[in-house]
Amino acid sequence: MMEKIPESSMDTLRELINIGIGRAAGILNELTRARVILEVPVVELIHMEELSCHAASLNGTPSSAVRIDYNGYITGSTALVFNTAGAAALVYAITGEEFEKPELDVMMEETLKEVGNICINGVMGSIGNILHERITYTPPRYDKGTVSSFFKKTIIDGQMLVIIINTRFMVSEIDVDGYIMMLLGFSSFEKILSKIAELEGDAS
Amino acid sequence: MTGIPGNTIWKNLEYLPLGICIIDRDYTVHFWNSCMEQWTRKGKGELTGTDLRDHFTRIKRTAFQDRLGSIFTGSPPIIFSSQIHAYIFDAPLPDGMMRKQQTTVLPLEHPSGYYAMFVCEDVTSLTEEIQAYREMKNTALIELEKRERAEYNLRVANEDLLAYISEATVRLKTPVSLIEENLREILREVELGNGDMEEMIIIMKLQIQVAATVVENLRELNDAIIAGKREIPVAYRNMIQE
Repeated sequence: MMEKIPESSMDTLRELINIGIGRAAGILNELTRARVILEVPVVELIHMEELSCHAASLNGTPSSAVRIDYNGYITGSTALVFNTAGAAALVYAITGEEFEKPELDVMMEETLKEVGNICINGVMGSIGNILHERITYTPPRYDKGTVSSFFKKTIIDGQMLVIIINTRFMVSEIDVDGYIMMLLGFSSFEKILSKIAELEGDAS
Repeated sequence: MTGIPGNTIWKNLEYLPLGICIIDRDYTVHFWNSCMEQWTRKGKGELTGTDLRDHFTRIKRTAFQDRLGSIFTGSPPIIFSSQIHAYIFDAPLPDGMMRKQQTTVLPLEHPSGYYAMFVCEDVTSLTEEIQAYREMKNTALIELEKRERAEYNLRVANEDLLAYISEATVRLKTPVSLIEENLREILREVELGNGDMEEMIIIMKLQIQVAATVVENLRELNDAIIAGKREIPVAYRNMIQE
């Protein structure tokens, strides 16, 4: 059973994530000709075992994910996940190409990787800024499958938690649900909470 | 190559079939491999120790530098996809077009600070192949759509033609039945031996007229089918013209 997380810590975490998402939206707008709006995200914290019940719009549908793994001060994996048809629609909208089919070819996968890279870096950058510790990251990689399959190979000792960040990507006339899923070991999550507590202590 | 400790490891990157460039946080070039030399037509001597931004205009862009800045603090690697950026390094092909590039920038940790390593992949051929495949697929889909429409039109035309022939048959059946009935009547009268020759001649003349009308109707139907007259159903006529 997960210990009760102080609501103020969760609020600070939400705020950090929100800043990261905002930064990502700014970069996407500068890079693309399309106007990209990322809605204020909904943040939830769940146990790894509950993952398949979450991300409702993805359950059972083919999904596409961009993922970065990391280790060092904290260990885990962060992925941006879309249903594949939504991912294709998003890439067409961002590149300004006419919609052809709800699938991704190799070039589109690379484009999605850049979009995922920007969003994940936004969130991880915000968290990294408060940690000020050494973390090593893998280059982003593209996966397709189902939500529960994305983290199957991630090896983390002990209890695993997932921070689910649900945001809506609005580009041109389309809007697509995207989920940033941050899989962490409980000890890594505690380290983040501890830094947040320090931050709150400094602020008060 | 500059005198940064550990650069012997970088030597191993010299002959990779990927463009490799390593810079420090001031954008000073410390490593430029032979693939980069070949693609950009700029040699190591020209690049090493100089500011990368002085050689490649796209690297001067604020949006690019804003993203790259985090690499020097050890952030996650950064990807620049070919669909969004087309290319980062000006690397002309013989026809003057620039090579399409997919670039990943990785932070390289060193005691003196982080360096940024650009790993650049030429995806020109891949892009062209995907474009060609897309065009081929689109053409095939358009042809398939045309064929499905033509098949549908043919089906509709056949149904209309059958309905038209059925209607024409009904129109012809009435006078032919009348001829048959009248000829049977004449035969019956002759067999009974009570036929009035004058009356039979009148009836037979009438049958000849009716038969002539039937023949005329059949000829008109034949002409209509061959010449595509108005009487032929529109869908069938359109199909013949197509």
